[in-house]
Amino acid sequence: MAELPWHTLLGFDLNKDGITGQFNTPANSLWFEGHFPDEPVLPGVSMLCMIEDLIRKANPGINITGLRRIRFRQLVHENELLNVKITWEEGSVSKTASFDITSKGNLISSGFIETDKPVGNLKP
Amino acid sequence: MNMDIESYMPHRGRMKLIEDILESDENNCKAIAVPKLTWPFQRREGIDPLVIIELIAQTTSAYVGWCRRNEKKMGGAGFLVGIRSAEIGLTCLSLDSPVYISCKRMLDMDNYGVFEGRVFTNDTTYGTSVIQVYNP
Repeated sequence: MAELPWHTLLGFDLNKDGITGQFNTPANSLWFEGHFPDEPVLPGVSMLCMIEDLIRKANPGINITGLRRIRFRQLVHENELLNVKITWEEGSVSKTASFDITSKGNLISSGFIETDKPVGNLKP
Repeated sequence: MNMDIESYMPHRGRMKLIEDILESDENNCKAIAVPKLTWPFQRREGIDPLVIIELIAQTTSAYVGWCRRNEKKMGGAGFLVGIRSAEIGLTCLSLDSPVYISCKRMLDMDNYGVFEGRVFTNDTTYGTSVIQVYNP
């Protein structure tokens, strides 16, 4: 997602249990262009894109291959700060992870992802 | 069907990914989309297959809008509130090559619906998903 300003990863922390990162949702983010004209709302799939961008910090060649029990609990509007927390289910050999996304302490989204390869040998 | 798709769904501009509804009946719908450089999920190899979730959600949105119009109900498409499951392939979508999206109504209960979708071409399935939508 480097070419276009869809979202920006402000920072991340990688550890043996998982990875956390912070994304912003500026009003000029391309996610809001036409979604929707009268009420800009961050698309739910944008958060999946953020999650994939984040796990690629742990393993650049990794892909999301499955999604399970994902909930989008609250609408996200412009200029919010999203905290994304991904927890490996079985350490660094894990091909599954849970995640939650919060903003100002409120749970925005949660669920499980599956990947095509283990998250890898993490070197925080 | 060559319908005025924007009258059935709220997505516009860069974030309107589907082009047209090709078929629809009481419980099924098929749409077409053509991946472009302006789409989200751009990767070096094409469009990341995670985009199938948005394609299925938009097809569902247009389909629900079409159904409600036929039933002379007010309101339109709702919000994606959940993804029960999804299987995502590893093949990126190619720019300018049309893909098809099918969606099937699995549950329709008041303002809540569950739809099963698939994104495919004649020789490739990019992914499948069961999504949940809510119409406020």
